[in-house]
Amino acid sequence: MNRAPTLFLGVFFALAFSFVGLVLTNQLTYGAFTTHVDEDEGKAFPQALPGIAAQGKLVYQDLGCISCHTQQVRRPGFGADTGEGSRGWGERQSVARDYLREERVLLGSQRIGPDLRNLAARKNADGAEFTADWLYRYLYDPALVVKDSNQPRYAFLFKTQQIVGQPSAKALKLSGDHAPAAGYEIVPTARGEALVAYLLSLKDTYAYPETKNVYTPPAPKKAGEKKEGHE
Amino acid sequence: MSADQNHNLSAGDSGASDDSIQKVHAELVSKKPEPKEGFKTMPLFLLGFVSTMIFVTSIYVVHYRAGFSPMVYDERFDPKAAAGSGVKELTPEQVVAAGKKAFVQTCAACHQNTGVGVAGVYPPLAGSEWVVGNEERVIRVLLHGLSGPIDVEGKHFNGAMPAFGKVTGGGYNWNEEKVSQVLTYIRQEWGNKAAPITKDKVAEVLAKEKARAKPWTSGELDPFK
Amino acid sequence: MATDSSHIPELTPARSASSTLSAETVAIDASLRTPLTVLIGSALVWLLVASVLGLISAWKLHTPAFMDSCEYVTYGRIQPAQSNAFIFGWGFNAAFAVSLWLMARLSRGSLPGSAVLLIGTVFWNVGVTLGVGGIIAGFSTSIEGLELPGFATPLLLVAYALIAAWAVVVFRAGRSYQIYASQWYIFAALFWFPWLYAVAQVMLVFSPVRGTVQSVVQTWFASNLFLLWFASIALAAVYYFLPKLLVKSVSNYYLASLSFWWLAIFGSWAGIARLIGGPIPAWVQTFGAAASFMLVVPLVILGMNFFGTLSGSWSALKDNVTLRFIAFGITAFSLVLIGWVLNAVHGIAAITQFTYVTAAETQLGLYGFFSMVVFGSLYYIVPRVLNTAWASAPLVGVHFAASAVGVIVVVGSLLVGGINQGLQLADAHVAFAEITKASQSYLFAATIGLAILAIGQLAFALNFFWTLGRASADCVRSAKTLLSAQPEAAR
Repeated sequence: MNRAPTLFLGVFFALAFSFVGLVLTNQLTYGAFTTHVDEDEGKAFPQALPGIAAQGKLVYQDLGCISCHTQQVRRPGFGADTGEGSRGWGERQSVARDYLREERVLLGSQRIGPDLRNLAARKNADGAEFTADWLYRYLYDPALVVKDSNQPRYAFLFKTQQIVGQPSAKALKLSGDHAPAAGYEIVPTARGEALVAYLLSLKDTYAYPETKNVYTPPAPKKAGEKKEGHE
Repeated sequence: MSADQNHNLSAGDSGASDDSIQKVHAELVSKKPEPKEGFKTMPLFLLGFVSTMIFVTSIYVVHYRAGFSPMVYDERFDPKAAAGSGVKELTPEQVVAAGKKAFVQTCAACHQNTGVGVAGVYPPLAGSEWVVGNEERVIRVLLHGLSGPIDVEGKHFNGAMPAFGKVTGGGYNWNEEKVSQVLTYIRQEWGNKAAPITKDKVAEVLAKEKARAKPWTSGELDPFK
Repeated sequence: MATDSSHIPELTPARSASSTLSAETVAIDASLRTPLTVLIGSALVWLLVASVLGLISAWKLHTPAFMDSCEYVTYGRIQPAQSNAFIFGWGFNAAFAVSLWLMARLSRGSLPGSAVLLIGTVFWNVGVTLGVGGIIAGFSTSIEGLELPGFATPLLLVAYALIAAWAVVVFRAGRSYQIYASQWYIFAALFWFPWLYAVAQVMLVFSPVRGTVQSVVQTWFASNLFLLWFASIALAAVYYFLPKLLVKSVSNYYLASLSFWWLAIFGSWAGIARLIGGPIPAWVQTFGAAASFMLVVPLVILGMNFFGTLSGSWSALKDNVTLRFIAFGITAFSLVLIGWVLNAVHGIAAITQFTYVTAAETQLGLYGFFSMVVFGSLYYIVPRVLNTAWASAPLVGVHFAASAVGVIVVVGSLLVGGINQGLQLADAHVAFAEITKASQSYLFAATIGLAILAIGQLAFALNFFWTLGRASADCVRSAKTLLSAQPEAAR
């Protein structure tokens, strides 16, 4: 260890080992995945995000939603993400191909808020599907729709504007203290609309072939089976 | 500050000198501790410990390697064992579940989730003699579609159903397995009780009606009642 | 322990030849005076900035209505701003300072000139400022550990090259022929970081790879940033200060190189265990878990090296604040390694993933280990480089007490709160709102812990700048200080 060149070579190979084994190997084995073409439906999955949802994803990144929300469903039996008796955060485990077309993969690492991967494919706490209206109210003031939420209010995604002629179809229906002054309405800004469009695009319902690679515990031997050989 | 407390907070160099640290340790690099009477406990213990760690983790890696496949995301799954078991046939429950999924996605738009249809336009499927009757007829309806007046359960309907099979002019191009799954589902739902339909039967019908390029009318399907 | 060789005269480090500093050491320290002052000063400013940002984000965690009308301080922006200010502002400036000084002292080579180093420092701080400002303005990349926007990071790599090159220059210019353990770690860390960072920037920010390969690269980078950069520099400091201040050789030193290589080879795989259960091929998850289990070996060896050296000399901690900080730090590091090993067990990971437990482990590693060891090192380095004693001993005591208590409160509350959160998350019958309610008290306790830490940091910063003020006033009298240094009491 007294020779600088030996030390340098050792240090180089030590990191090269994990760089090649982890980063390069994965880039080669599954970084080159292609979309899965479904002959039935004549489409390639995963599908690209529609334009406004792609803009919404940028809003999601800009506001740093990844600090509190994950976007990955773990396998059944690993926590309560999916499977029997789970929170129903997904029909199945998230697979690598679900994220294939994402320019920025937002797996997340904190569940200060719930997982969002299948937001558009599951029900909220009241048992209803998530709609744009519900999400707008939630972002404006979570207390309007959910008790004890840790979500801050994103009122800056909305603007108050004067009602000219007919009220806007996108205006939030608020009452009491939250309602705007008479003659005014609260509508989402373009950022707010984009974000909600993105959230409503989050669903991983396509069943790729690899989603069948799920471990099934071996069936317990029935008492009668053992006797069969003797008959 | 007194000199004997926290004296390293002042500028004098306390402690060992740097070159002596290096000299001493250069010798220690190769020097193992003096053995006590008997055996050398430390190197032996360490050797055993390191070997055990390597052994245990190797077994762990081999057990949970999941075939080193980039398509497997559950470490308990063994792709070789699964491949060996051959093409898995879906259980009857899975067939019905798959059929239900497709029905809810597409058919329920007209025939409704409850299978009651819309008066005058879309016939009901619940309790329908068309559904539980001859499989030849109901397969053809789903494959090629049906348009024009039709009587179901004594009531009159007039609408247009598109072609769902892989037929000329069809926009959905469902394969035989999907057609058979949907038909199996509707034949056992909402109180209907009829035998499931296999994909081979659907394939047989498809082959027989290769020339068909437009939806059926009610009259044309009478031979299959 | 039978391995203690302190009774063998040739194997015991000798005290400094006399109570006066040798001319060589003086020259080395003097050559580092300006660069280290700038580095440590910037580090402390960033530490305070990170503290303020940290207090705001911690408050928002349990009181989301706090300042929620201001878009710039929304939690999703303030939390990455705080962590990047802490890591790249405080952590890197401090690491540069400590590693440069250690390299210079151990190679016994002084720094030829400090202009380029100062330019590098300025570039680095400009880059971090741009980056943190960019995050607050909304340009975060949303990649954990790499949130600094792409317009700031090339500046960081350039600055790094300017700074790190000087460590190599000092090494080559030096007169030492042996390479000591501290030098292995520093050498390795200085080489590893640009590789890690450049790969991560290219494969994630400038030319993103497809799908979850991004997650593999990001986790590889983030875990190695801690283990192969921060932990390595801190370990280098521990390997230097323990034998130096205790005037003993490191216990079982012959195992130190095994631990170094083991950590280098397996530690760089261990971080992937964070992705257990995720949309990553299962074999990758398994390798990550296996490598994490392998971390038990360095845990044991480092324990033998450090606690073995400390054993029998615990009374020395009373008099020596550097040793106190270092002892706290190595205890924290042992707990961090134990945490890494435990989190690779699937049953435990199913509970602790995505909870405050990961936040607790990050705090324990970056603050409880790295920052505490660096604080201890700086308490030794600063008087020698500035040639002035620390201005206030009470502030030193405040700093240590506040840091130790603060780390224990923060890590403890986040750990317990996180385990609670994990157990509730795993039970589908517990509504999410209940989980949020149950975490409130733990998050509030963590905020209090952060406030205590902030008090300690303020004490340290005050002490440093006060000392700096004295040093500039004293620079005329420096020669007299050297000649009249008090002889040490023999121990």
